[in-house]
Amino acid sequence: MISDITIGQYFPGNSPIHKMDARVKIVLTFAVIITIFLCRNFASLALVTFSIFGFVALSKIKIKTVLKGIKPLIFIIAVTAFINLFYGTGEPVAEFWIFKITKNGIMNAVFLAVRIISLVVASSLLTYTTTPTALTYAIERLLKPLTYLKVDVHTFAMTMTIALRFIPTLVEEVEKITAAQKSRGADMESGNLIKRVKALVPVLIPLFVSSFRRANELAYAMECRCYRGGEGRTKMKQLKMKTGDYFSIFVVVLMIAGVILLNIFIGKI
Amino acid sequence: MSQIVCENLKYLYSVGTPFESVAIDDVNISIEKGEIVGVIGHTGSGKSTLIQHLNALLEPYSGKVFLNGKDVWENKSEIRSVRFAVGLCFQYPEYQIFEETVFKEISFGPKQMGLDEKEIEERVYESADFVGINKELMNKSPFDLSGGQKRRVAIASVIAMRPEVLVLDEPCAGLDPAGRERILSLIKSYQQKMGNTVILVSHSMEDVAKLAQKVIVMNKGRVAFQSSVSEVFSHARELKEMGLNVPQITEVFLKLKKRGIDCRTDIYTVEDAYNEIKRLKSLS
Repeated sequence: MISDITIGQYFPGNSPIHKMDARVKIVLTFAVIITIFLCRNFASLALVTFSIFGFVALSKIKIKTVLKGIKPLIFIIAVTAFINLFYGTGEPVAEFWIFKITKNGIMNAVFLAVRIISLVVASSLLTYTTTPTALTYAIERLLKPLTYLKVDVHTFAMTMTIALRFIPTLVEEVEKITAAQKSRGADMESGNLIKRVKALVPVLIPLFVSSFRRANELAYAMECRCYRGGEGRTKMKQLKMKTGDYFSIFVVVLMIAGVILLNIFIGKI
Repeated sequence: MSQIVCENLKYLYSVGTPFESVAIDDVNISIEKGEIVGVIGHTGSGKSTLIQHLNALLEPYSGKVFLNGKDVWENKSEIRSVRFAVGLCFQYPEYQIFEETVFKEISFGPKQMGLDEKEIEERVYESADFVGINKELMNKSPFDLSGGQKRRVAIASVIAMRPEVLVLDEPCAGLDPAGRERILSLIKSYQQKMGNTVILVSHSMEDVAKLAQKVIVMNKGRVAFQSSVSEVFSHARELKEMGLNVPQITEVFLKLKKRGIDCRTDIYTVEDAYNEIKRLKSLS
């Protein structure tokens, strides 16, 4: 079902990771992602992967949930790894027709698969442990320097908050509409591609209609509460950095240093 | 043989995530052909989950649903035939209306059944007539209708499939008293004319008392009571503990009894009340 997609979802919790400042989490996630790309050998990649899973363990999110998030990407990971099998250099291990698999190719394939999985896990951890509102507040705060360039950061952040806020609502609505149409005999599970696309029309039209209605109502509700843009607005929940945040920064910096050292002392795969 | 039987039905939401929760558990019900059955329960009591099992929208986590003695999930490729046999109409017509005209909207179901043009037209006019949608409205956009009209179009679109069992989820919610009365009398006459089974999910004890012969009370995902109207509403205290109530008129007579007036307390409709007051008057 559509609600089974876990990427971008938030799982409530009370772990040290949940309590971290969202700004720090965003910056560190970016730092980790960049570090993943800096890795040139298995030792450094292992260091990053272990650190990521260390953070996952700290967040107390079930490993089952995290792995479920990777599931939709299995196909992409498999194809990427498979193609890379044939692009290695050196002595072939197996050979047929114009294809040859080398030891280097196998290593590359495994390396890539681990790299993609680490990327997905690192970025999902951010959304798993941060509420969408905290996330957008943090983005608003991080992008604040852009206001000097006359970019309306607040409106951008508000748009994003609203969009994120309504994803679960829309998902729920899609399920309700699908149930109603299925009750009238709509067939969404069989037939060829064209038939299936056509079967979506009875779901999409009510969805659009209700989205527009909702947007209208939301605009009225915001006006009724005197919303007038970002200027002078204060926040109830101020973002504040705490010991846990400084500690995480320290750990990530240590990890980056480790990766650089490992890159220098152990060669490329 | 009962028309619909649920055996040890259990359903979980969001299986395998931290949000996993039991929606219904250990539900055993049986519904006879031609009955009007009321399903009542507090919000979140599992009413909607239960009725979505009846037309095979939801697959039970464990337990079975039988329609005319046949397990509905026995043959998955024939699941749509179950949905044609058990017509489910949801609370909000906004979630299903999508066609350009009322006619097309009502014909969606019959079209999915693969009927021919003539048969479809016949059924559309028949069901539109039944719910009181005028012929002039047939070529209008369903989005331009009033709330009550939309609701009736939605019901017509389900009736047009001529289901053996009609399941209505809160058909009167959010309607004005006139619209409400209209839908209720429509349900009653549908059942009388067709002899079909009707399952009515409602928050209103009055509506259920007025229409149903049998009541299923859901509480926290389980069946609390499953019995005749008078039997169920005699449990006034238990119902209140579940956040439900007895019909207002019943409450009046319960209080009269408490004040020492020797009246009957199995009064569920205004008509019952009228007769009882007449009886009491003749006694004094």
